[in-house]
Amino acid sequence: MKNKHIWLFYISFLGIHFSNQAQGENKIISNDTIIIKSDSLNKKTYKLRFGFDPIKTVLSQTDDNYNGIEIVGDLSLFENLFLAIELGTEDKTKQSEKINFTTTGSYIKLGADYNMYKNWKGMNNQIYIGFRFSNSIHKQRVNSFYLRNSDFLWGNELITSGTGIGLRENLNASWIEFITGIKVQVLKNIYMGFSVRFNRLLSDKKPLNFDNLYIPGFNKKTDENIFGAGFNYTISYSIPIKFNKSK
Amino acid sequence: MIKKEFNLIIFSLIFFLFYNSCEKDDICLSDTPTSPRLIVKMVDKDNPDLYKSANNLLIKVVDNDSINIESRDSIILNLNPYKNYTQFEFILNQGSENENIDTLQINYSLNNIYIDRACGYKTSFIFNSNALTLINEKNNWIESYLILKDTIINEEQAHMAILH
Repeated sequence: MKNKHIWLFYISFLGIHFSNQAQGENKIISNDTIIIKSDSLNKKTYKLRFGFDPIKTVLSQTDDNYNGIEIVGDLSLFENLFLAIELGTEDKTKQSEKINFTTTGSYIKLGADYNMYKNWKGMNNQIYIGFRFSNSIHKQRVNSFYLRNSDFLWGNELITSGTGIGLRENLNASWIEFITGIKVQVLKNIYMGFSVRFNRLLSDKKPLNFDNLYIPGFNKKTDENIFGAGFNYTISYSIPIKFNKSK
Repeated sequence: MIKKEFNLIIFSLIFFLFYNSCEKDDICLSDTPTSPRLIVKMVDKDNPDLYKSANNLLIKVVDNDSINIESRDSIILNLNPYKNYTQFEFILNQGSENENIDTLQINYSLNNIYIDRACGYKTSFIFNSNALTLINEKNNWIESYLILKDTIINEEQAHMAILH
């Protein structure tokens, strides 16, 4: 039932964008009738691309301890420079060495990509580098843990209640990501891509009597350093939008 | 050309799926502080500043088989981190005719403190207002007790003194 809703969510996006495209074409036609021919040279085509992360969607269906979606978008500002955004939400239960915890939250990543790949005429692939400023709002719940004991006189019981166990709300984190990735046009207007990300944590609000062991969008946070890594896959759909150049 | 790059994507997709499945093992170092133990001083009932060791003292942990603790003027006891009390049998003059068993109960509340990812949590103990109760009421060789520190967070100094 839940999965069905997720798929409907994605499909609805396609619907919205196809209808947008149709409206765009109508506008252009009505504009053409009033614009003198030479003015059409002043028109600039922006390419808007939007999509989602299929791996996160597949994991949500197969992994009981993970639920997440990520939608992505970029807009070409200049020939090789793209404004890029990622929005996502994650719900992940993790068993670390001694602690079982659940992280729930959403994130936004905003930045730019620069394409370094010179395409042959008619091709539209990318090898790019980029950066993102990212922010998350999340909460952490400690489900259970084992105590660190000096000996095992009293055995090693799993603790599921008492101090330490419970929900910590209103947490956040901000970080910067350095990205390298590729996007390949597999069908007309359909792109597949993946990127590798190196994250540097700028700040995070730590939960009481616990730590942000996992941050949505950032990934696993280690104790001793502020660096993290991640990657994402995307399937995206591209539409051209035409604007009159501002004078 | 497109096919070639498509293959590259498939390859890297598989590679990164495997890459994701291995994680660095975080190791809890042995010198990280653990859940502390209770340190008890045996002192003179007439002069609590003076150490006085009990003769042939043997301590048994109730509800826990065959755990005997050696007697000195300072005793280190493991408190149960899963309950809010622990019972001990303090056996004076063990093995002789005038053997005297005092069963005492240490009462406390538990406070779990986060250490780090690898080590998880440790416990600290906070004494209740009646930190020590004697279970057997007759013929007690233990006179009284003193609280030296009301929380047990580390093992740097004695937390409790037993007057006898």
